[in-house]
Amino acid sequence: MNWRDTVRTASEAVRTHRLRSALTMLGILIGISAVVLTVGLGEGAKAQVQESLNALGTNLLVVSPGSSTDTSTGVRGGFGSASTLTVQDAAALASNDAAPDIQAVAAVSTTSASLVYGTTNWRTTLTGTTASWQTVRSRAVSSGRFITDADETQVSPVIVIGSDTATELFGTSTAVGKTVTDNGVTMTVVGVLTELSSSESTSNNDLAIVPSSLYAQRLVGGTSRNSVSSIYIKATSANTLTAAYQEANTLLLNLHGITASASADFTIATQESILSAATNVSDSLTVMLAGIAVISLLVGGIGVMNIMLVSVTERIREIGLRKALGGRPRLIRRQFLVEATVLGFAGGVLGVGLGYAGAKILPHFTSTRVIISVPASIGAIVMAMAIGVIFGVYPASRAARLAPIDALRNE
Amino acid sequence: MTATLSRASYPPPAVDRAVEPSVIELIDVSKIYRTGDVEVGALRNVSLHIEENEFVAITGPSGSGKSTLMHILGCLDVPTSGIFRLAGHDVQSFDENQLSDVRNVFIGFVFQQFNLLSYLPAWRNVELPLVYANGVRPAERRERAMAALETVGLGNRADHKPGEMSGGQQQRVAVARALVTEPGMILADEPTGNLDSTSTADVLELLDQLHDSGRTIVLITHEHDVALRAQRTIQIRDGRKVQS
Repeated sequence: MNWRDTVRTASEAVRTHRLRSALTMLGILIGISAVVLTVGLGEGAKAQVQESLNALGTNLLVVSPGSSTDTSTGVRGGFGSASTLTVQDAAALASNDAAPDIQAVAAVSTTSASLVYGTTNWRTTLTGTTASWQTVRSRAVSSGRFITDADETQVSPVIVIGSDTATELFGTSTAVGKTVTDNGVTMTVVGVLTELSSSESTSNNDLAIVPSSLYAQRLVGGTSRNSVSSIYIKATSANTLTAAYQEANTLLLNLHGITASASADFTIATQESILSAATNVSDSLTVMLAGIAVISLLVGGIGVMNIMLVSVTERIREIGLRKALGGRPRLIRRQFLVEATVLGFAGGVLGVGLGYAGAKILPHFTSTRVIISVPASIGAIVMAMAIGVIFGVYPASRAARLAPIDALRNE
Repeated sequence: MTATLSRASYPPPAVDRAVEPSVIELIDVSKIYRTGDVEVGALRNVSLHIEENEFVAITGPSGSGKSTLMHILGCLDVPTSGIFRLAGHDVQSFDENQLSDVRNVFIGFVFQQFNLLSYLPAWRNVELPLVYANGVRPAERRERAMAALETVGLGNRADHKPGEMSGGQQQRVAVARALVTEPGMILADEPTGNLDSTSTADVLELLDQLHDSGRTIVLITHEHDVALRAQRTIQIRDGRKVQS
C-alpha cells in the first residue's frame, strides 16, 4: 500500500462520514481562522503605524531636545523651558563637509495657533521652518509654491497651509492669494500642500507653515528666538541612515560641548525606534489573541482525537478485515493517521478561507485593518495538519493494536 | 517491509508450494483462553493434516472450538501450545507482520458476514488484498479484480456497492476477493450461513470450481449437507477432534 492508496482511502473514509467529518473540521476551522485573523490584525496594525511613519518622510531622523538616558535632571534639559536645540545646530548639520550622509535638514518649531480669515477662525498647528522642510518631509504643493530661502531672509509674511486647513478656512474657493491673520500678523497664503491619503494621521493635512524667521521674530517671539522644537534630518538613502545618525550625534555633541555621549542633552530617534515603540502595544495584543487562538486549536485537536476514537470503534470490523487480508499494523496506523491529517488539512484550508472572508468583512465594522499574508496562511494550514497528526497518533495506534479476530468478531 | 521475512522473498525459494507434501500440519495444538483465574480450553491437543488440493470440511456445534481452529488455520490467532506448520513454516514463531504477510499471500478468507466495505464498489472490495500485497501496480490490481469478478460471474456488477446487491451476490464478491491473490488455501467460515438455498448452491459451486483449479479448500460449517460437498470431514466437539 503506497502513500497514494493511503491518502485515497483516508479521503474516502472522510467523505463517507460527511456530517461527522464536517463537525470535526469545525473545531479546527474556527481555531485556524482565529489564528489567521489574529495574525492579520497584528500585521494590519503594524502596517498602519508604518504608514503614518512613512508619511513623515523617508530616511528620517528626528532630533528632539532632552536626554534619553536621564529625564530627572534639569541641568541637561536646558534653561527653563527653552529647548537645547538651536537654529545654529540645524545649520551645522546641513553642512556637507561635516555630515556628508545628510541630504537635508529642517529645524522645526511648532505651536498651536488660530488663523483668522474674515469671520472664520480655525485652530491648527503652526510650524516655523525652512524651505528644506519640503524635501525632508517629502511633501508636494498642489497649488502655489512652498516657502523659499528668500522668504526666510526677508521675513516675508507668507504662509503655506494643508489641504484640510484650506477647506476649513476658505471652503471651495481658491486659497492662494488670500490673507489670514494670527497674533496680529497678516500673512498671504502662497501655497496649499497636496493631500496625503494617510488613513489615520489627519494632522498631515491640517497644518500651517511659515518661515522660521517670521515664526521666531513676529509670531511667537520671546526669549527662545534661536531655539527650535526639533530638527528633522533626511539621510541621503536608507543605507546611509546609520552613518547619518553617527554624524549628527558626533556633531551635536561637539557643538554642545559634551564629551560623554551618555550625558547628551538631545535624543535622536530613528523611524525604527519610533516604530518599535508603537508596535509594542499591538504586539502584546497580538500575543493575547494568539493565546486564545491556540487554545481554540487545542480544543479542535481534542475534537479530532475524540472523533477518531469513535471512528476506530465504529469501524472495528473494517480494521479487522483489513488486517485479515494482510494489512500490517503499521499500514493500519498510517491509514488512520493520514485520515486525521486529512481532517486537519481540510479544516485548515476552510479555516484560512473563513479568515480571508473575515478579513474582508471586518474592516466594514471597525476601523482596524486586517492584512493576511500567504506565508501565514500556509503556516496555519501546516499547523492544522500537525494538529491532525498529533491528536491522531493515539486513535491510530489503538486501531493498529486491535487483534484481527477480536475486530472481526465484533457484531 | 523490513521484517525478517520480507514479502519480496516470500515464499522463500526453498519452499515450493506445488511439491509441499502437506499444506497444513497441526501437531498437538491447544488454545487456552484466560479470563481472570478461569482457564477455558477452546482447543485441546488437536492434530491434523490437510494435503495440497484437499477439500476439507470442519464441522461441529457452536462453541465446539471450530471457530478457534479456523482462526489458527487462518493465522488470525496463534496456538497456546503445539506446532502449526503452514507450507513448512512454523507459524507460531511468526511476529504480527509476518502473520499479516502469510495471510495476504497464502490464505483467501470468506466470512459468514461477507465483511465487504459498504463504501467501496465491488471491484474495489475485491482489489483490497492486492492493495496490501507488495508491488502490484494499480492498473494490474484493477485488471485482476475484474478477472476475479468475472470468475464469480459478477463482471457486470463491478461498480455496484455491496448495498446494491443481494446476499448471494455479496458473498460471491467476497469469494472473488478471496481468490484475487491466487492463494494456496481458501478458508471459508460458514460461507452459506446467511444465504438462501439458491445462493448457497451458487457459492458451493464456486468453491468446487476453485477446488478443481488446484486450491486447498477448508470449509467450516455446522450444516451437514454443506459438509457433504467436501472430500473429508473433520468433526470438532468440546475442543477435540472426533474423527477424520
